[in-house]
Amino acid sequence: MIKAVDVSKRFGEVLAVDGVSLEIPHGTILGMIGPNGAGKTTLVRMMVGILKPTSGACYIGDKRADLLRPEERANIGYMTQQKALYPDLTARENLEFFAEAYGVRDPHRKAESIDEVAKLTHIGEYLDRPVEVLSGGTVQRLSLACTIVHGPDVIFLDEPTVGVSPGLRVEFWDYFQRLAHQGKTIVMTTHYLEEASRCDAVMMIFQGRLIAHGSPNGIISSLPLERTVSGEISTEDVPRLKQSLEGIAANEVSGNHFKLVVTNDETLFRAVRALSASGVHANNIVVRQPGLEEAFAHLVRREEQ
Amino acid sequence: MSPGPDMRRIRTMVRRISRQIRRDRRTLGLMIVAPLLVTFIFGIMFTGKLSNIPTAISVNDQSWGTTLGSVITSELEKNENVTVVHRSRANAFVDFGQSIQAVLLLPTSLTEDLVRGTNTSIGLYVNVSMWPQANYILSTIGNATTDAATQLLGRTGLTFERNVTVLAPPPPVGGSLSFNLSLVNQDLGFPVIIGRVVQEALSDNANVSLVLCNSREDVIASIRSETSIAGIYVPENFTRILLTGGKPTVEIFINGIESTEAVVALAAIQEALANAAKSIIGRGTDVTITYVYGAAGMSMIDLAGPSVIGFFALFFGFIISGVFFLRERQQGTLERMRASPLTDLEMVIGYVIAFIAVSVVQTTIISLVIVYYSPGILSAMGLLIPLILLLVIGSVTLAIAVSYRTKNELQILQMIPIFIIPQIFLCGIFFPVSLLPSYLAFLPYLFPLTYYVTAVKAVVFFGATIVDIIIPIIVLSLYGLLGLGLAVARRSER
Repeated sequence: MIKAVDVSKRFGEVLAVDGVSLEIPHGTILGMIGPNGAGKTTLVRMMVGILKPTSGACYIGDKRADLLRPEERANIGYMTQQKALYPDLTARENLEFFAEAYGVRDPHRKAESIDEVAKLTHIGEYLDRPVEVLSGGTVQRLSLACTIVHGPDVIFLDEPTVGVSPGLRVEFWDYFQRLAHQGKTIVMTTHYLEEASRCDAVMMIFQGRLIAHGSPNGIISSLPLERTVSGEISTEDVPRLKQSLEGIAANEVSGNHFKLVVTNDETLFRAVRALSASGVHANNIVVRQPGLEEAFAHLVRREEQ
Repeated sequence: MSPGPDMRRIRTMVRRISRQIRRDRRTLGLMIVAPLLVTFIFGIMFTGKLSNIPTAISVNDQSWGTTLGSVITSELEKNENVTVVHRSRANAFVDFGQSIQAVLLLPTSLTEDLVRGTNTSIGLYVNVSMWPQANYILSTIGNATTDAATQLLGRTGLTFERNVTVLAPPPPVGGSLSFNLSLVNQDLGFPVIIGRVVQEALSDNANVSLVLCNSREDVIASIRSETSIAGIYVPENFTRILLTGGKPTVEIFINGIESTEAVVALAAIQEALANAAKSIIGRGTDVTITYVYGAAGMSMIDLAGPSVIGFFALFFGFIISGVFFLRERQQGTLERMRASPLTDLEMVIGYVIAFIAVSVVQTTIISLVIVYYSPGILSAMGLLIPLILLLVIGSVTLAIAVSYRTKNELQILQMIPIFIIPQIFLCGIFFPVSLLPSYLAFLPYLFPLTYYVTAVKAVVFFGATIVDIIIPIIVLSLYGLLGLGLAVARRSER
């Protein structure tokens, strides 16, 4: 269990994080989303324990994150936004350094761990090359490998998929989900909202404040966001369509194209049922559910008002 | 709250940094080649013509009080058969032939001529009534003069003419051999103080400018305070020992660090000594020279070497570790390390140890080169190694403290004119610290290199022991502690 209790962080005049509280249960993936400068990295750094909150506290287990003893830190993995690797050393030497720094010293165990993460992140063939000659994607995979080489139970990933090709991003998600299956807790920040929707839980942060926290679907369905159903009908069916939706959902028809708009799932369901009961024959039906993007835009708008 | 640093984690740090340094061939090469190059350049740099080298001198030499005449006199007085009657030249011959049987005239230049090896004669007049007594007087006086000369000058085979005038006696019959001698001793002895001659020769030499001192201690103080580059002490028995055939000792003190000047001053001193002796006693001197600071034949390389080692330990310790640490910050590895069990202190210690290792390699290589040229330096280097390590500790920790507060590598390089260059000029390698005006006198003492160079001078040239350099050791330790404190102190967060 990772916890933040009313944490704030002030840098001079700027309140980077403003009274955030949240709990992240074991074995879950939490996605932290928000625009640049929203305070995601600051919050993660406080949760990792390398930044002391101005007020409030972050906990890993029952220990305050900023007061963890060195040995207790061995259970945490932190992938920073930057690559954070030594370009002049080989991939293996980087892995060795971080493994040892985290207390993996037995040579046999160390080699085993390196092999294991290298296999997981597909960097086996690059292990003995200097990092500076590796491609961006490989470096990113190595950076992840260095984060988890010591087998931490709690993993913080600060924008792990930035600048990563779509193919590699899919691969990464594969790793994350496998790690979560192994019971690891993952906290990651991301710009990609469609990526966040794959998380078990999402928290939205804006101007340092937590504006939403919950499962992706939970957040979306809790908000009055537009769901649309559109399609084509024959022109003689238009009056019947309008009649059947009367009092249920707003609709507009132009030519033989129709679109109806609702703001919650229950109404959507009722509208679809009414539509099918009316006997109107529709083609090319598209039901559009809102995504985190809309949810976020909505919340930001509400926040700004 | 956190327990002490963990040696295994520090070892991990050290191994990683060493790997990085080893891999950076250019930096590595620079760290080894540059100090060697500078050491050699330093060694051959100061070979121009020099003049007015401040040279302290203290001549306590006394004139040779003893005269041959007085020794002859006392020899004769010891002989119970001789009654010596001291007379002036004017009444030397009063009662001659009556109560006075013999007259001995010792001229003014007797001692001097003898020492210089020029012809000398004494006058002996004998007026007795029988030949055996005359012969006895002749041999007694002869023995007395020869013995006196041998005794006085420590040399045998010295000859001088005796003008003997024996007034013809009538045939003798028995009688006593005892006689009364009228002795005229005008011998002035040897009036020249050779030490003074040496001093005059030196003051005529344009290469040196003399700083007159009253005692041996003053000479040493003059060099320690860097008022003088070289010093010479002529003891009070110099002339006497030289004249009596002994091997006098002249002590020459050298502030070895300014060695080119010292070599010129030394040459001038030796020349003056040789010339003085030659002109006065007509032969070369056999002077024992004691080098109180530094040894003869010490080349600039042993003077430059230790200073250069210290400077480069400081320079590379500062610049390279500063840049390395800045990179850790910039590339994010510092952030990653801080999230790991590595503590700030362990990171800093890791850095310090890695750079100490580099300095040890550097120092060993440079020392090997220096020792090849001058084996005598080896023991001094042993004493200097702790100082070099202290310098590295201070330098690396301060660099880390600085790189926490800099934005880019350029800002680290900007520290060179602020922190490095003033140290080079102020530390006392290039010119004595004492030459600064009093209102700037504190400046060198702000920089660690000054203390190191002070210790180097003390150890290499003044033969200091660890006790003598305790102050530099303490100051450099404090400097290291200050750096360590600043490096791990809480910093403002970005």
